[in-house]
Amino acid sequence: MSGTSKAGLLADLRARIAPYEAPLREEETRVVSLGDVIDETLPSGGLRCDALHEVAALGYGDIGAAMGFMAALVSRFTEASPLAPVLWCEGSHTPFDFGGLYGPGLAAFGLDPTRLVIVTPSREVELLWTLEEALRLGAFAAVVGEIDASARAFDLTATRRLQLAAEEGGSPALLLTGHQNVGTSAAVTRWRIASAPSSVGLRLEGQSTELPGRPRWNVTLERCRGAEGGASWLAEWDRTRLEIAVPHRRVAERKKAELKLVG
Amino acid sequence: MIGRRRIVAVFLPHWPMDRLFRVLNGKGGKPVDRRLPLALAAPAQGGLRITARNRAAAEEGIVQGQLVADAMALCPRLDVREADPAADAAALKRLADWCGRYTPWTAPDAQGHGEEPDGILMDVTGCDHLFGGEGALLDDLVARLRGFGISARAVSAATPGAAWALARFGEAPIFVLPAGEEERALKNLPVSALRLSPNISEGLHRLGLKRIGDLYGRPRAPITARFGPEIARRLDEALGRASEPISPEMPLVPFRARLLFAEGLTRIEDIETATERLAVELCDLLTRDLKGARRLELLLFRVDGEVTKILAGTSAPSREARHIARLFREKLKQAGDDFDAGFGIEAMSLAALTVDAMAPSQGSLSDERHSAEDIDALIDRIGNRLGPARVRRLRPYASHIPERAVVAVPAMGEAPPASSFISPHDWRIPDLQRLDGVVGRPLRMLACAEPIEVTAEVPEGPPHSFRWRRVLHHVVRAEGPERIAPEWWRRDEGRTRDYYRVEDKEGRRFWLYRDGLYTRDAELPRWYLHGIFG
Repeated sequence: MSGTSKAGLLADLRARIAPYEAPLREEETRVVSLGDVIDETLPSGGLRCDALHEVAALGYGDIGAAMGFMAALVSRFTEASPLAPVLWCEGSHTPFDFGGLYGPGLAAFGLDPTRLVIVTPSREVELLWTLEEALRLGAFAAVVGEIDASARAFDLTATRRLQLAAEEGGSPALLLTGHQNVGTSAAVTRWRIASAPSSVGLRLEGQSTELPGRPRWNVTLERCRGAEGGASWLAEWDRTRLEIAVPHRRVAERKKAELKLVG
Repeated sequence: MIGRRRIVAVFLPHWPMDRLFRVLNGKGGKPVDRRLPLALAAPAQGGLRITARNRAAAEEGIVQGQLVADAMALCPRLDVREADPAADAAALKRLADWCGRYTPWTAPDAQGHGEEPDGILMDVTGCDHLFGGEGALLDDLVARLRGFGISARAVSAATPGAAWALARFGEAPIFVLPAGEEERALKNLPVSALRLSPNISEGLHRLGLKRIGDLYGRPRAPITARFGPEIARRLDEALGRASEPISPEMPLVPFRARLLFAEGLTRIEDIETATERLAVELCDLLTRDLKGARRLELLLFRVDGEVTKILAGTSAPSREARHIARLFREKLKQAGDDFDAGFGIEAMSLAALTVDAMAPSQGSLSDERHSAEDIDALIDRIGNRLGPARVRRLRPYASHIPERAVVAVPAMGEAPPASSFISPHDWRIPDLQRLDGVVGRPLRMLACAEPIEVTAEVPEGPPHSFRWRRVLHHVVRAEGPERIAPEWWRRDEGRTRDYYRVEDKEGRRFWLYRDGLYTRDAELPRWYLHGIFG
């Protein structure tokens, strides 16, 4: 035993627990693309449509960024099933106390607000019930729930039920949790989102301050079933192409953009 | 036509008294002995007067209409309580609801023997066979009421008038009058049994016309000339020569299914199973008439005489038994431990209160249509469980005031009139967004903009930093102002707002506005945070 390397030992252990993990069924699952760079790290080559995904904020102040990333994910899923509606369960207590979803803002993420069914349950138990029922139906492009991870009803069993319901109905379950989401979960992926300053420093003529750029986030794939977690990117929302982009900062590009705008 | 109708009149001779004992001996309180003299009193001419009394009080010589002072002198241990006609009437209505276990058509009898209603009218046409005939139905009804501590008399007849008269003035407490025998049965009853106003029956008495039989065959013209048409009309109604319109308590619903149980159901699972059976029966009725249910009512008749009413709605007409049963299952489940079956549920009825036309063959449509129906069904279930206001859809609205540009409408049922709606694709996203990447409207908007403390301010520009919810944000990037003027045609409108999209050092993006202008308004402008960007 002493001769085996650490890596070999790990591989051995992985092989032993592999049968206990839920089968991935890669060949039959539908996936949506999050851009080439991110897709590479995901074992299914994209974000699975029949699974539970969690989006968590890094800190309390990053919940806005997490919401943005969530809107981007939902937008990707709606593109995959262009006619189906989206069910969105709004949380109203901390950390979701920023008012209701705003139609025009969602439209900016390529989401048709008229396709949304917004549910505002008063208790977490009702929220989980609503999500599960909607998932089992399998008629929604995405089922989104905002739940504080510190809530009592939110535990491993709850996530497992959601994951099973998502598999059964074949529609994606997306959970937006607060920054306190650190526990175990049956979710296939968990994304940790932090806000990031926008890149392109556009400046209008005669103005002293720069304009805000595209929505931009620090995205970490904290855990991912069947793959190593921990990969991290600086991602942007490209609202003309309705895609998540992982840009490479290039000074030349920035200058060109500046010129175009002033001219 | 009239001959085929069967009406039951229930007379509750001691209703206010019986109701009072039911309340007193109900939950919690110390039981009151019925054998002690007790009376109800209400203000009347000359002071408080007795309106009702129990048997013990009657034996002491207390009579109705007596002054309370006189009554107390007669019987010093008399317990006098305040009469409550409104509560009596309300309780009578509940009792009439409970009688819905026999027939959907029940109503408190508005015309009492005295001034207050003291009976119930039921139309049992075609229902009696379910209970083993009219006689058995009446026996069952009176026995059950006696079990509740309510003394009752019940008579069935072909006309409400005859049933009413015999229930109050007849000899037998339970009586079935065959059709066509009204004339003979009413002959010896006093004229007041015709539901005449007191002064008319008094006038008839003075003329020596004391019994209904005295009116038979008499020329009508002189009587009508003297007393008006009421006597002739009431007589005809009682004898079945004229039909009497009646306003039922429950709306007459053609789509109703009912079930009776030999033993009271107490387990919620049993009630759910029974609901499913009712739903199947109801959907058969709906299918036959090509209708779909929009509003449904489930009535649970408890053994102890209470009725639990559960309402449910659908967003689109439905006649799928599984869906309808599920709606009520959610409701029952939600009641959970609070659900009180009392001593059991002995009867249930499920009715479609509102129906819409529904085409017969919707099963053959495409899958897509099918899933839309499934979604409607799910929305119904969520709405029925969480409350209809908690399931909403967004609709654009033609307004450039941000908080008014979108309305949330309940997803169940129809959307509000589309008069001021614009096309669903127009979400009023301003032109500013054409700049690459900039998202012009926040993802979430606060219901009420929150005031912020602006620490370093540049006149007519975005703030350098601001404090919101106790956190200080340094503004690094900003875009604006986007000036949004109030809608001048609305009176309650505020001031002009200058909106800015700002980004702080950490990359968080907020939507701020300055309320009011520097130059024009005397008051200093205030700053608010209205939304956050993704």
